[in-house]
Amino acid sequence: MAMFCGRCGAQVAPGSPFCGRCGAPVVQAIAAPVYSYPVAAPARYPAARRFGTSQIAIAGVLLAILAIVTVGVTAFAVSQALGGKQAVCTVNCAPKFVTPLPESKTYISSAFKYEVDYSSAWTVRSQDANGVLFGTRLGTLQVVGTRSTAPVDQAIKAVVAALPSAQWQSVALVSDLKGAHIGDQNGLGSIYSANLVGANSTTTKVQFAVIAATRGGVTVVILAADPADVKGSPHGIPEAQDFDYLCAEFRWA
Amino acid sequence: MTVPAGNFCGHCGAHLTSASTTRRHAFAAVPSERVAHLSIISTLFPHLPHRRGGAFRWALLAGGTAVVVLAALHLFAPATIAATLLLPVLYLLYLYEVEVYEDEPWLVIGATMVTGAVLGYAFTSFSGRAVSVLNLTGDRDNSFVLAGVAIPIVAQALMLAGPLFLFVFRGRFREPLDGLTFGAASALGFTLTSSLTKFWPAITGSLVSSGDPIDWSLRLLQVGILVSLINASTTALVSAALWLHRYDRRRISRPWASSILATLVVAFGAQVVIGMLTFALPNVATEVVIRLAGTLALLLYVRLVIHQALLVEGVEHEIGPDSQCPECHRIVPTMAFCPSCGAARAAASKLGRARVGGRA
Repeated sequence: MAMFCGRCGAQVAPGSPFCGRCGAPVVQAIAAPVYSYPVAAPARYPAARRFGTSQIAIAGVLLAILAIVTVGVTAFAVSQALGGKQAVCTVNCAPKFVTPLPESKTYISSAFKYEVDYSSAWTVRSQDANGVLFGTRLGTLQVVGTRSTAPVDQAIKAVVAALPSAQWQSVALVSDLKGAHIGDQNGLGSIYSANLVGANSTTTKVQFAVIAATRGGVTVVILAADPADVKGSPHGIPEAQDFDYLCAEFRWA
Repeated sequence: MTVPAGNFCGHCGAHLTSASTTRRHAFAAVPSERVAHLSIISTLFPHLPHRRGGAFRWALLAGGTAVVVLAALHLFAPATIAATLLLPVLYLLYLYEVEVYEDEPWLVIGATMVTGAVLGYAFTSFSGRAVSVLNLTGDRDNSFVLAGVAIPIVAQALMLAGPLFLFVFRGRFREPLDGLTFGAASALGFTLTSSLTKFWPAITGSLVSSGDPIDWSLRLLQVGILVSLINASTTALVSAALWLHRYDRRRISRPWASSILATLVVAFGAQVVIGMLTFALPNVATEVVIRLAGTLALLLYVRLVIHQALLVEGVEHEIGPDSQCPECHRIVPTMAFCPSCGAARAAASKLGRARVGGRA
């Protein structure tokens, strides 16, 4: 029985898988072919030039190379880290004179009635009755009030422990902050270092201060973070002076 | 033209039994696999004969396991370095194994992996500072535009720079799989230094660090495997389409999936969509799921492009003397496709083709 191509209409030879005129495939049941080519003898061609060994050996070599490079780069990185560390100022390093900000705004906590003066160049990221979160020029600063009778050192530890571990990694205490204060109330403070993982998995080495003070049953905690600059900044925090101004000008209820 | 008897047409690669010109059941590079088959090795290492693919597969698996073990031991710095080096090292060995660079190894590796690595370092150092400040100051709007949209687009363009150089100045590399390999190599070089730069503060920290090992394992496998595969896939797609466009001598109607426009849209679109989603859903597990889905989809698309490129590739068709098929090792007439197993001759390594006396 004659067959015709479904595309161009030309007659197709019986059993042909394709149209002889246009090349369109002809769908039809064809018995599986019995074509068979001989397999080449293994020794017909020279062995592989380089990888004549077993696959396990090759995998072993690849892993060995990977391991050597890993160890080498790690050693280099660690040596760089150890050699690059600078002494961190730990005693009375905060600026002794507070430079007033050229232009400032004020946040007032409706829950605890404390007032915070901050640079007009900063951006308020979020705020509520208890506190406020600023985006500063380089980093971030958070002021939070709570009604608590717990010791202030516990408040500091609680704030650090509450930092999300997926973002705040390798958090380490650098030093205690001597003479820490919030407004005219003496308190406690500590400086920490950490790696902050953000968008695109970009990791930033940061330095942050946590300061806490209590008055009248209200505990205020300030967390101020900046990219770490341990060579040229007090406590490794470039905006330390601005942060110190905020602490100095803080007004309790 | 009369083609020799066989299961596949040695001229166009069509499967004769089923009269299928698209032969989706027999991937042109490795006919024992379907086109829609998930395999990193036969997709991004297509010149590798499947017999040799096992070593690379095991090395990849063992490397991934090593990263997890290091992370479980809290050795995050070595784990990070191992994760970022895993695929680039394997790819460098692959280039060496199949000699895709012919007699110009330094030029090809320099224009792809090294150029990619230099651009990756420079770009990530430059953009990383801005991203860091935006992260720290909590400026999510600008951070979204920068990290979710701008950086993926610019990074993708930079990853294509090396292959474009070879495309313009080295016309002797004329096969679409050359383009694919150059694209993947450039992307892996870029991703290597980009990831190392991003993680440098963690790498230069203490050797044994605090942190959740599961979180770290996911993060490192994401950066070491998934991001590398995504970047390699998108860049390889575009460069393979470029090469195919220039060197398709048949000039028949190419499938739209392997056109330059389609691959550009898929490559840049995938980078931006993945960038935006991972920014909007900042959770390690969610990021892994998003990137894993993107990786699987892109790998399948790369296979489709490879398959179509090999089927329509413009080789000079003649029937040569009998020689050994590099894939199935049968003695067959030397043609564009093995009449017995259907493997494209262009998918064999250049070294292997030279060894059996076929066309290189």
